[in-house]
Order: sequence, then structure tokens, then C-alpha cells
Amino acid sequence: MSSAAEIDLEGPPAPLLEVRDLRVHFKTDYGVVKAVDGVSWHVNEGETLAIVGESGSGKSVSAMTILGLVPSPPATFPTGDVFLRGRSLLKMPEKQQRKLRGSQIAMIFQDPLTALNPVFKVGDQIAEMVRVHQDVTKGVARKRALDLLGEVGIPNPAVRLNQYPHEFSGGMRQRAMIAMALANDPHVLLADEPTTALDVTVQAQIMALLEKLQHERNTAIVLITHDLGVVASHADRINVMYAGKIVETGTADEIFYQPRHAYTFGLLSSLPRMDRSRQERLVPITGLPPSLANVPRGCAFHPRCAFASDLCVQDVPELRPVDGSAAASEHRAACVHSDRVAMAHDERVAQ
Amino acid sequence: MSHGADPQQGGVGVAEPNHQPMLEVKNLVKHFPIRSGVFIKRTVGEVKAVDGVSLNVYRGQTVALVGESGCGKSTTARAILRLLEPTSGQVALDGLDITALGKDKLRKARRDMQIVFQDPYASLNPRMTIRQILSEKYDLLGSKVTKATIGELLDTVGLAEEYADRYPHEFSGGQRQRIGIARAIAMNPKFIVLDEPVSALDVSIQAQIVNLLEDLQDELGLTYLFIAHDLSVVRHIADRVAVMYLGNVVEIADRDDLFDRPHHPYTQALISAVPIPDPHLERQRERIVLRGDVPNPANPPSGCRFRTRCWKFEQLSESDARRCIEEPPPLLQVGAKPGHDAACHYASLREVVRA
Repeated sequence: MSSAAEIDLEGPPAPLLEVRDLRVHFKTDYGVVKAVDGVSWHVNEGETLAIVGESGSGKSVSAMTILGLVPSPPATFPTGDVFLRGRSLLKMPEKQQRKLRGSQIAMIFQDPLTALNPVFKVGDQIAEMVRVHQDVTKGVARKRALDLLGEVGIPNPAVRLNQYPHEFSGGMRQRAMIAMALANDPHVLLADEPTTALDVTVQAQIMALLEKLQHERNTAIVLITHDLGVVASHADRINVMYAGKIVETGTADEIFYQPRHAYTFGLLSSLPRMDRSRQERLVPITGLPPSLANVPRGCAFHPRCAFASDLCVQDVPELRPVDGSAAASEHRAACVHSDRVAMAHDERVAQ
Repeated sequence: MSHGADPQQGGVGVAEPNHQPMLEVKNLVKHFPIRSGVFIKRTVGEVKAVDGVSLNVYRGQTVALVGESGCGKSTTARAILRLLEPTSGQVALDGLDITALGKDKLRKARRDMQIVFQDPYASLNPRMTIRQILSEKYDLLGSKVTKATIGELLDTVGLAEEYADRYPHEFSGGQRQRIGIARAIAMNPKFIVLDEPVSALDVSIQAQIVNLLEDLQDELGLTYLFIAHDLSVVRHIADRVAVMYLGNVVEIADRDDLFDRPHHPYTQALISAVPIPDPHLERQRERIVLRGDVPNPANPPSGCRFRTRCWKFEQLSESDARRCIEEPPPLLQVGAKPGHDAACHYASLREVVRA
């Protein structure tokens, strides 16, 4: 096992990974950019949590903060903490944090060509990952890299081990990056748009691979994406983010079949659907996402919202349990017009 | 025929023998030489990016070209516009043979054929204002800009006139794409290539641009060649769809025929790989997962180029499979009525959207 075994993962029952009231702000010439503004979520073993949002909604920044990849300055973290099995990550000494990154929590990035080092062989990069966290010889690490390449479905792993990233196709590079992320059997895998740069056929391969690995290892996956199709087929629970905040959270079924935030409803309505009779016109969300340095007052979505009223401009709505949801349900939405959204959704479905 | 035609008719975009197509592409070929050597460059091979593509696009229609990256869809579009010189083949726009034109005449013909690029960040000159970018078009193609021209043009694509004197960096991705569209429609073209026009945009903005493109088509009677890899957008916007694989069209059909009754195993895999935003449906769907990547187009497989990844090929008996290895399949009619062709020796219907 990894040298991080000294971190007690057998402690009292707590979520595997928990983010509590996280805020990540950047000081810029245009004012304070609140990239992440009070976000809380958790993920358990074997579970896939999707974080959905458009560019600039803060979905990637929250994941990168967990791994300590957001440099400070310019970033400040006014509030918030991250817990791995109940132990605070951000309050740990840097040295201990480093041990956890890559061994307990690993990340897969969107663009494998920029995430892999072009001047080192793929096998050496994976072996390095093993040796950083485990006290093993070079030979053992290389053997492990070979096994990992085979495990993620790369043909001829012995040959591929000695090749450079540019000799790999896009899909193969993403597999190599997954191999690297799995090198130390992490408990949590943060996947930031893992298939956005790939063709749909290869996307299907990569997502099937991630599901298989998750099944075998009971890994928790945090899937960060803007693609609602990928989310529908792979997520257990979903957080919808807008302008640095979670605006709706619930199970995949709750989000897709009972959206209660106007933004979630707008997103779902704007998609062209292959499985339904073709609409005459798409129903877009009007306007543009806000600049994070200048987020609208009250509900950040109100200038683009079809349901907005004076109420929406006054206070920032809080995430509240959705009316009529079961007692055990964690379905929550930050929208004062949830009931009207529900009616509009039912009408759409009836059509 | 417009995209708004009743899909129940089924006949949207079927070859209309009475009309001359707006765009007629015959046997288009584009090979890129692979050169080697330091002082004396010798051609050691060829990348067959486009290898004999034929298609017709009728007035007011949208034909989509789909396929994975590297299948030759963008090269086809660029060769049609002669942004890349085709190796062989004919392209006719409204009866005019584009491939035979000299430099001056080609520039004149460009008034009628335009392109909107994928990346709205790379396709606008950052040092020019929007007014300059749009006016340049008129200057280059020999037309006058009046005081009202640019304002009207921006209004058509849903931007306010006061934006005209700003620079591209002051706009969001969706707004830049509107500017790219304004540039394309500036000279009242007949035909526009849309090269992945919404791929780089956020989900909530995509629908805005798709609607704008459809409105412009209705108002101006435009004919589109729409290049995309997002099949759900294609199903919405296209009247007819051509699926490309390694430089060839492997299946071509009217939109509903292609999505509801795909016949080529590659089309079936491609459609089945598209995730549908419906968790229940996704849990039931059986996905055809292709193995591996697209082969190197410099050295494509013999016979059927798709056979190395084909799920159907794996199920064939040895004698049946030999045909795929030896004989390149021709593009033949597969449906009950003409207009639906597939290039597969063993083409057969398989329902993949809901199954």
C-alpha cells in the first residue's frame, strides 16, 4: 500500500471527501472575482458526483483547490475547508497534504497533451508517480506502470511504455493519464472534463473504462463537465453550479425529471434531443453568463431568468429542500420560484 | 426546401430531380503528399484525406457532414470552397464550375460562397474593430459600404450597432460567433459552410446560435453545409446527413432516415455513442463501443476502411469477412426509396437511439 497509509481512513463514519463552505476569490484589476462562493458538497465510496456548469461557473476551480493547485496569491480562501474522511486537508501541513495528493486523491485533466510532459516517456511518467508515493525500486515501479497501461486498455503496453506522449492518439493519451491517476489506488478521482477533447466514440470507451475501474476499486468519482448527456449516463448525484454557487443539488433522477431551479430547467430545455420528436425551434437561455467580478445582485441568474420577479433581486436565495421531496431526499434548490419552475417543467413534459 | 418542413413528409431533402442542386460535388479528392528528405524533397506517400466524395445540396437546404476527427469532413468543406486546392473532382455552385475558375473569377465567385469557422477566438483579427473586419469584406470583394450597412448587418445577427467600434476581445464566445456569421452573410451569399459553428460555445449559448442560423436561412434563403461532430445538434438543424469515415462518405440519408433507420455499422456506432440527457433511457440503452482509434489515413486498411473497428465484421464468418477485406464497398441504396445510401456489404437496419 502507499506510504500515505498512516492517514487513518478507518476513522468514524464521515463522507469520504467533503467540501464545506468553500470560497475561492481572486483579486484582479477589475475587482474581486468570486470564482467559488460558498460551496459545500460530499462524495462517498463508489459514488459518482457530477458538477455541472458552464465555463466560469467555478466547477473546475473548486476541484483544483482540493488538490492545492490554485496558487495563493492571487487566490484567497476567505472560508471553507476540505475533509478527507473527516480530517481537514487544508489545515494539514503542506508536507502531509502532498502525500495525500496523487495517492488518496488524483485528478484527470481535460487536455492530456498539455497535462503530460512531452519530453519524458509515458512509462517513466507513470513510474515516477508510483515512486513519489511508494518506497519501491525503479524496476518495480516500471512493472507497475506496465500493468497499469494494460489495465486501462492500451494495446502493446510494453512498446507504449517507451513512447512519448506525441506518439499517442488523443484517446490513448487520456488512457495514459487515467493510468497515472490510478497509480496509487486513490480513493477519490477528480475528473475535469475527461472526455471533452475526444470524439464521441472514444468518449464512450473512456467513460466505460472509468466505470469499470470504479466498480473494481470502489473509487469515488467527481465528474466535472458541461455535457448533460455524459452526466445522465454516469452520475449518481448532481450539483448544478452557476456563477460560483451551487444552485441545485440532487440525484440524477431528481435533477433531470424534477428540476426545481430556473437555470437547471433552462439548461435542460435548451438541449436538442435525439430521442424526442424534433422541435421546430430550440429554447435558448437568453443573455450571457455574468462576469464573476460583477455578479448581479440577489440571484445571479435573474437577468437571464424567465421566472424572475422583484423577489429575485433582493436577497441571494439559499439552497433549500425542495417541496414535496421525500424526507431522506437531499434534493435542494436555491430558487424562490421553484413551484413555478415545477409547473413549467410538467407542462413541457406533457407536450 | 427549408428546415422547417414537416418531418412527417419524410421527403425533406430527398433528391429533387427537377431542380438543379445549389451545390454539386462530384468525386472530390484531396490528397496531401508526405515529403521526406532534407535538400531534395521526395514524395514518399499520400494522406488520402478526402477520397472521392460526391454530394448534392439543394437550395435552402442544410446538409450535415459528420464523423470523427480526422475523417476528412473539414478538408472536404475547404476543398469545396477551394481554400484548399482539390486534387481532382468537380464542384459546381449554382451551375458554375468552381474547380475550373481562374484567380480573379474565383474571387468573384467567393461572394456566393462563405464560411463560418469553429473557433470564434482565432478567426477574428484582434487588431481590427468589428467595423473594420466587416468592411474589409466589402472592399475585398469589390462592393460599397454605406453608412447604414454595418449597423444593419449587426442588427441581423442580433448585435447592437454601438458594438461596431469595439475589438474582438471585448466580446464573449457567442457574440464573436455572431460576428463571424455577420461576416459570412455580408455579401448575400448563396451558400455557407458552417464548420463546427457551435462546438466551442457554452450549452446555454449554443441554442441561441442554432436558432439564429435557422432564422437567417429562412429569411435569406441560404444553403448550408454544416460540419459537426455533435449529432444531437445535427439532428436538429440538418435536412440531410452524410457520415464520413477516413475520407469516404459511408452513409448518406435524409435526417430522419439516418437517425431512425441507420444502416451502416459505423453510423450505428456513432449514434449509439452519443449520450442522451435522460438517465432512465441511458441505463437501458445498449451502447456499441468501437475499439481503438481511426487508422492512419496515409495507410488505410484494404477493402472496407472501417473493418478494423467494425463490430459487425467481428461477427462475420471467415468467408463473409473476406469480402470486407478484399472489396471496397460501393455506396448503394439501402432504403425503400432512393436517397438513402450506405457503403457496407452487409448493411442492415439497427435501431440505436432508444434501443
